[in-house]
Amino acid sequence: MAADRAILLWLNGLVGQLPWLDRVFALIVNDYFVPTTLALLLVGLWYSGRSEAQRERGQRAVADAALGLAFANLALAVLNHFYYRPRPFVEHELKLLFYQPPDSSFPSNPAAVGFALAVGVALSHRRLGSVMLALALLWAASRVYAGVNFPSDVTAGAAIGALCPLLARGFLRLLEPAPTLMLKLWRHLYLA
Amino acid sequence: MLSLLFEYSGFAFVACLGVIQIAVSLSGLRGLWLTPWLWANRTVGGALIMLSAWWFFASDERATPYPLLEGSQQGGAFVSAALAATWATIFLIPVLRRAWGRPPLAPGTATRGLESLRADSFWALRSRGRDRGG
Repeated sequence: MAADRAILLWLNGLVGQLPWLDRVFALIVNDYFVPTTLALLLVGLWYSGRSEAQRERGQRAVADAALGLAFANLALAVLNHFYYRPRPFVEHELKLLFYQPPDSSFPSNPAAVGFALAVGVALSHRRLGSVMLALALLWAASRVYAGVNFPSDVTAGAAIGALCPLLARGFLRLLEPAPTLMLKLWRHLYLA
Repeated sequence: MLSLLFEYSGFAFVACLGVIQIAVSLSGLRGLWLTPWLWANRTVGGALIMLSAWWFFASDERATPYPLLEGSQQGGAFVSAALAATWATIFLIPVLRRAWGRPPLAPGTATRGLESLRADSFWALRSRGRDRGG
């Protein structure tokens, strides 16, 4: 816990020292920037591929990521129901780059969302997955920099987010041939 | 909150149009191309993404506490915008191409899904199907 506070205070202590860095992190920590960028990359993956087989591989990765995100949201809802941790700005005097969220600090929802989407893709598309993982990592780090999460919050969120696409992938395999039939239906609607 | 929802949906719709143009130009789905030129589709796609992001993120302060979109509202708005962009790409872009007097594409071989739009537009496929049927 001491290390948790020390990392938070060190990272948040950088706020105000480099105005350009604050502007970059203010954009990254924004509620819309990283999740929309990750979602746009999923849209791109859905349409990419030089053959139908390649495209189908991408579309299955998008399904892993989307179902992984649903599982992560479910896990977050359950955890938030049973455990509440006050935000770091309640206990410490911090320089906030973000509004004061009223919900539990632990686990970090943005970290879970970012890692669920990124790991879902990284399981089958290493290069794009790495870019998405870097974005998710930046988003998680920006929450600590901005003073709205402890490092342990984002670590737990990232772990939940990383685990859920693995479960989702296994679950989708168990459901076969339903996912394949769904893809065929979407093809008839020109959606896949 | 409603105005933010509309603004976010608009941003997501235009950005999705841009991403789809870049992706279909890379994957060779010519029936979904806005222009006959690969470089032009990528440029238009990139411009749509950059302009919509600039409009959304730089023109106003969006990270304020209120009006705030919940994650589920944001997700729902994005999925709706992505579906709207998909249908706009499939149904409207071929009409735009025809309005510009672009020559029709060579017939393809696939009969279903996005793959069937590798060489044909949706409307060309449909009219050929009707000719065969009639």
